[in-house]
Amino acid sequence: MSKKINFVLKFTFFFLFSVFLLCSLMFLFTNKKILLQEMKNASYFKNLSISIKEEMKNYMNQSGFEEKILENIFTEEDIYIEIEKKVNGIEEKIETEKIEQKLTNNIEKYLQEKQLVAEEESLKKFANQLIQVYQEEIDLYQYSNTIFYSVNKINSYLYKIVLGLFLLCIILFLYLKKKKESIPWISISFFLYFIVFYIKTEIDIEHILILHPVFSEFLKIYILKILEGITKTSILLCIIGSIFLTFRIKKASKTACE
Amino acid sequence: MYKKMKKIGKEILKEIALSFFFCASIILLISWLYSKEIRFGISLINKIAIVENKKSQPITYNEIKKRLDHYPNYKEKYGNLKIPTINVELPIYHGDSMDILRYGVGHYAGSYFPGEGGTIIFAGHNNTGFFRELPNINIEDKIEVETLYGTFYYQVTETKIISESDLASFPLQNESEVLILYTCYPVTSLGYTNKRYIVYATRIEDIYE
Repeated sequence: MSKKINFVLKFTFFFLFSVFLLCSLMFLFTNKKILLQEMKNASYFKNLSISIKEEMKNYMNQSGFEEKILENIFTEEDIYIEIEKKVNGIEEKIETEKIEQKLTNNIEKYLQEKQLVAEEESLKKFANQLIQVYQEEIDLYQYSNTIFYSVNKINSYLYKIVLGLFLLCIILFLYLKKKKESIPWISISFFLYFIVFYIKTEIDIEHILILHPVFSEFLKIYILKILEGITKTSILLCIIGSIFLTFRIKKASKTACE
Repeated sequence: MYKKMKKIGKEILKEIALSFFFCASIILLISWLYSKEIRFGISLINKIAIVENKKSQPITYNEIKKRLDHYPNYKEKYGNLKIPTINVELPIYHGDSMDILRYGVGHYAGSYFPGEGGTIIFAGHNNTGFFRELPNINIEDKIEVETLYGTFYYQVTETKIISESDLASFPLQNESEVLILYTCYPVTSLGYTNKRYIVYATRIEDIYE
């Protein structure tokens, strides 16, 4: 194989393998199960539950009720179930019957305790306001379906891309027949690290605020985790490249001795 | 030995230089092909998703132009509302969202600021410690709006009960300085109420300033 062809092939292998690694990472991070697990790890459901309660408390002052009517009207598990449906692309309306029932019971209990009377219409409108808060926060103001649908679509595209690139890389790797080649590995390592550096320099990830503060916080953690994944891959490739480089040096020193 | 070291050094340098070359080539290729798209994408992200920590500038009042040179940030406290006759003394925040109203009086962001010569709209909850006593206000009662850039005085001219959908009762104009205070009515109601208690007051700077 002439040197020129070898050079072009090395370059192509480097490029394809870099894209393969990036796509593989993105494929992993857009996986439904991993996404839900990461949401759990980032306390997304817990934080969303707190945020919903806080938002509902904003309506307490004007209503004349006390915050205790919000006790146990929904759980973190309820939120998890709703978001799991959305992540899995199930387009169902958010279940509100349970929360409505519990809220009505709490209101009735409160009225009995305090011996108060209220108009049914006012109570109904008030309960609807609170339920709307619950729906809007889970639904990310109607954007959740679009977001998770896009993530699923990206994931299915990435699957095909990753598979194709993997096959191409294997063919090229075998064709090159230079298993102790260090250049592509170190190049990929540099390239991946450059991507992380560029993103971190150009985008102020710490100050991301989109749709909802709790969602933004999760997004921030998730993006940093993806970048951390790329950095770790870059370090790993640098180590592999260095090992291969050591082999090359040994070989070179052996040749020099001869 | 020297020759051996030289050869090894050359080999290492060659490998690293080539690695850099590969890496730099691909970066240059991508930036040459997609430079516009990348820049556009990043500026879009920075515009729609990144919140800068805005340092609040001092709020200053321009007496000649009769308007503020720098406005308070949204949710920022910029003054106090005092109505001595009904024992009201509450902080004023820029904006009137539900989370703001938990802590004091909310200034509707689309209305004018005190001193600007237009309609100023303040909202407050109807519970104790807020605007519970607002229906007890009398015509000609004095209202003091103490801000970071000056203190303004108003006198109550009219009160009325309106439906929540009656937006005509909140006329936004800049011919005369009118302060509008409103809260949910009846103030002792439970749950949601679709009526509002509204107070109009005009500025009386000549008497008090």
